[in-house]
This record gives sequence, structure tokens and C-alpha cells, in this order.
Amino acid sequence: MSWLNSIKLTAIIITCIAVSSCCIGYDDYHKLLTDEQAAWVPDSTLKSFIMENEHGIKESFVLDSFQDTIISMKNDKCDSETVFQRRSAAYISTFNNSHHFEIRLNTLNFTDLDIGLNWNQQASWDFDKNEQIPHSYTSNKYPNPTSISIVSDKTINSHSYPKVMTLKFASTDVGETGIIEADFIPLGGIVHYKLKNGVSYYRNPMP
Amino acid sequence: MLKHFKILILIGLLQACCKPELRNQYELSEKQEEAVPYISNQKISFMTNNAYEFVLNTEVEKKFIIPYHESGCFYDEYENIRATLTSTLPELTISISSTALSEWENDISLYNLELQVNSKWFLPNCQMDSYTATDFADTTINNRLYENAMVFELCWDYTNKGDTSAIYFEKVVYTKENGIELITFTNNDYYELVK
Repeated sequence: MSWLNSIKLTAIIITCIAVSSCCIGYDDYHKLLTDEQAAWVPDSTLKSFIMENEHGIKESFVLDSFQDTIISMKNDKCDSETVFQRRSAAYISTFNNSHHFEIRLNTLNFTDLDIGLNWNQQASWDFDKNEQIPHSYTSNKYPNPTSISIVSDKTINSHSYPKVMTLKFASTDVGETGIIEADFIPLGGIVHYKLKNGVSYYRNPMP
Repeated sequence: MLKHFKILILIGLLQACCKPELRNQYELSEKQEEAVPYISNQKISFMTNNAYEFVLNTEVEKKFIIPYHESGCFYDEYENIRATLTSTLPELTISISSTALSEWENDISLYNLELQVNSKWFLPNCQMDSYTATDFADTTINNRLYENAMVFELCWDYTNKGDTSAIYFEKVVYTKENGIELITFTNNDYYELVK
């Protein structure tokens, strides 16, 4: 074999290795939300709801944004396809204060649930491992909950729910008007939250 | 021709380099100052229609502002008085202010009051035209007579997408004597000044 042929062969081998190694980790990825998981984000038909505290102070929230999208990305070079789902709903107070609730689901990499409260409290849950995970915000400004739990048969404000997700925050981690406890139900979204000052708000009417 | 052009450029450069000087300073009229009847550190009690009492804390600031940025070498200052009322439960930040007017504007608008609740703009009787004079007058709201009152309304709200089940701010009744007397909501709830 001449030296020229040796170089050509080496180049071909290197190219083949490079091309094949580029595709490592680019297998097909298909992950969509189960109905049970998707239900944690209320349907877009829930346009508004009212929260009321024990003093009769009411506040309404309106749907500000909703997304339910299946995203498909094709990698032509490696002939692989990534399909994942994003579903989210954000509600803002009609009183233009700092109150808001946001629930986001994303199946890219893993099935991730993120909850945002009043623009400055965040919580994350990994449905694949069924456990709480630190949220992706690196700033200390956004405290993580001390616990997230999904429980069966919980009674809130005299209403029984088969499944409830409860978030609890340390009162030392939140501001004067921060939320220390919040309950969410499938399909209905938030049904209760308790502020650091002890005042609780409930959905009116309870769903 | 070139000479004229050079002179024009020189004038332009001189204009651009000038340090803006104060041309006029307009002070609040007595009437305008009286229309913001608050002082700092007051604790003003309100009661909801469900008999829950809460306190609004006041902060009042009076200073000269430059509301219109002119590009020339002169600027005008207008005296402004702003009262900010805040409470945490319910979470409210109410701002009421009056800004002095120039001589020619004084004939048009008497008080030049601006009112915002949680950064939402309320206008006297929804009059979008700021050149329409608005004055205090006896007004009946919710079957109650308010003397020397101005009714501010939330005329436009971007969160209001026609969902009638949601609750929105509606009106603020403001009197010369006590300032904010009543805040009403679209579901007939209200917060009322405790006298």
C-alpha cells in the first residue's frame, strides 16, 4: 500500500469515527405526558377563578397564557427524532398586584413539573422519580419549598379531593406577604394557599 | 452658498452643545394642593363590604418634576404633590397626584389630578381628553351622597377580556375633604373609608 493510500484510508476511518461518535446519544426520544400528569395543568377552558380569604376579601385570576404543544425535532444527520411535550398555564391577578400562579410541564429529558407563585416562589417535581427536585432558578431570591407531596384523599375547606399536591415553604424563606402553603388539584389548579401572616385563601366556589 | 452652510452647521453645533437652563418653574395652586388632603404617616382605616377593617399607610412627597422633556436649551419645572397609600392585606398601592400647570393650561383643568390603583390608571368620569376640566361635584354612588366628589373610573384594563365572572376594579370616589372615600368592584364589592 502506497503512502498516499494509507493517508486516504486513515482519513476515511477518522471521518467514519467522527460521524458515528457525533450521533452517540442521538437515539430517538419520544416522551409525552400521561393524562394523569397533564391534568396538573388546568385546561384552557379554565379562563378565570376567584380566591377568597376568611375575611371575605376576594381576588380573581385570569388566564394570561396557555400552551399545550408537542414539539418534534428531526436530526437528519443521525436519522433520529426527538418528540416531547410542553404544557403550561399562567394566571394573573386582575388587581395588578404581585399575585400569580403558573404551572409548567415539560417532558424533554425528564417529566418535569414547575410551579411559580407570585413571581418569586418556585417549586419543581420530577415525575420520573416521583420526587421533589431543586428548581432551575439559581438565584437565592427564589426559595425552594421545604416539601412537595402528592397525597390521596385530602379535605380542604370541607371539600374532599382524591389527589392533592401540597407545597410547603419555610416562613423564614419568604417575604411578609409570601405563601407558606399551597394546594393544587388535577384539572382545577390551585384551590388553597396560606400566607406567612396566617391568612388563608380558598377557591370560591371550590371546584 | 458654502459660507451659509458653514454658518448653519455652526449654529446647529452651538444649539447641540448648550447646557439646558431652567426657563419656568410652575408652582401648585392652592386649589391643587388642597385637592390632595393627605400628610405622611397617616393611618387611614377602610372597611370592606364584609366588615373587614384594614389600614392604608400614607407617604406624601412634594417636589418639582420635569414632565416634558424638551430638546432645546431650556426646560420647565412643574411642582408635583403625590400621596401614596399602601396596605398589605388587601395588597393595594394607591397613588394620587396633582401637577402644577402652566399659565395657559390653568384655565383648562383645575386640579390636574391623576389616580392609580396598583398601577392601573383611573380617569375622572372616563374622560380621556385631558383638556377637559373636571371639577368636584356632589355625587350619589351606591345610594349614598358624596359631597364635593370626583368619580374616577377604570376605563381600560388589559386583563379584562370580557370574562364577567372575574372581578375588576371599577370606580374610586374621591372627595376634596377626605381623599379616597370608596373603591368599588365590578362584582359590587367595595372598600369604604372609615370616618
